[in-house]
Amino acid sequence: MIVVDRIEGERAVLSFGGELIDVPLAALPKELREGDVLAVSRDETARAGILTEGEARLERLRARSEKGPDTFDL
Amino acid sequence: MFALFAFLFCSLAHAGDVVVDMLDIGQGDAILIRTPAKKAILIDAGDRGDGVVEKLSALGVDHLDLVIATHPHADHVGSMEQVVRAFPPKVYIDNGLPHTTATYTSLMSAIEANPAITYKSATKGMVFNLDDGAKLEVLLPETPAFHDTRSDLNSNSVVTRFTHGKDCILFVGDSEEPTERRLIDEKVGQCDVLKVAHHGSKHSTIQPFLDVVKPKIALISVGVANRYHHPGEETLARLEAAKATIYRTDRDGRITVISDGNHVVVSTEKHDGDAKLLPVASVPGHDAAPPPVLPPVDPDMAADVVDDEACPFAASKSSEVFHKNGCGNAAKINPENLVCYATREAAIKAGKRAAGCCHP
Repeated sequence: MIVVDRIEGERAVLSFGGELIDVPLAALPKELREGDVLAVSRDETARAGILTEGEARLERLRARSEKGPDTFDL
Repeated sequence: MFALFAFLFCSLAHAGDVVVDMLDIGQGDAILIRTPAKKAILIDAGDRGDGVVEKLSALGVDHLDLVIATHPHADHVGSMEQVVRAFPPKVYIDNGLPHTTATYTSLMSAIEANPAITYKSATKGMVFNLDDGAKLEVLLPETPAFHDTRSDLNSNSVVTRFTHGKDCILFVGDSEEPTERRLIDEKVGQCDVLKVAHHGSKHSTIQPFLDVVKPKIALISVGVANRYHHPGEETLARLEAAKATIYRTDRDGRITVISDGNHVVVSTEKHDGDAKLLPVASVPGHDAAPPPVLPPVDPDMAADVVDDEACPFAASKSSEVFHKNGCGNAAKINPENLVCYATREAAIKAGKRAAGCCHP
């Protein structure tokens, strides 16, 4: 269980177990209040979307570099 | 302290030496390789805020020829965007696996925005020829990549082997057990110096791997009192049982390995936090020349021993190298053994070679 311990300026201090971390408020739900309990879930759709974009960028980078032997004289 | 260490470095490194620095950047990896012809290679770039750019600059780095990101975790690429902006490398390689973090995405956008950077996904068989016969070979990753391991990004770390004459250093990123077993299967062989995987995590540096690599020196990049409890006690025990001399950035500060192609010499920036320079250790088991003996450090002595104008280039009768006057090493020459040369050419003609530090 992750609980909002307090809000410090633009950051929220989150408590889970015995650990505290602070996170930008912008990354959390709006109107967050101290004492709120957060549910965390995996977003596979978002993950897949970012990975697809990453793969596409790598393909562009590979394509722009010269093909050739895998030996380089630096 | 920096000046003192720079002086010590001068006394150890010579022309023809390759110098490998494991930077002290806390919990992460950042390793700099410099060659005699001033090639500069960086393997990983620590976490965000680790001051990697500043530390590289302090070491005199003004360019990078090759950058290797072993894998896209933030403790290895956290400062990489700042590095590639400050020193855009000729070639940038990574393990070809994207990550979903903003750190990674922003880094790769910066690389894509600079058309002068050649990007390659590292694959087994790539070779980067340096100079003086030194080279970096990519041993892994290979296709198919590891899947469904404890950490696929770690397991598919870019693994490289540096060789320079008889010297060998194995850089394994955050390799995991499957990576090490693959390296064993592919006959990785013995290598004197091992950059220990994953900051000494207990999940890596398995016994069968040590049995094959037989490292004499183990380098661990790790933060002081880190929350991950790296390095693992089990890993340290395995390394000690293998009789590897362990160096750790959390205790020793920056670790410098100097390779002349026949021997490696290790020095460290500090020891146990008291900023004391450690004695230099040669690699156990090498049929080596004796380790360098550190002289009293007093660069000002140079002016007392050798007159600048009368002796612009100085050497000892018993040494193969010559120094520019004013260089701290000139101060260490016994006046009875002092030989002066009017020009650099005259020293070279006499069979001397330029010292690596003061670039006479």
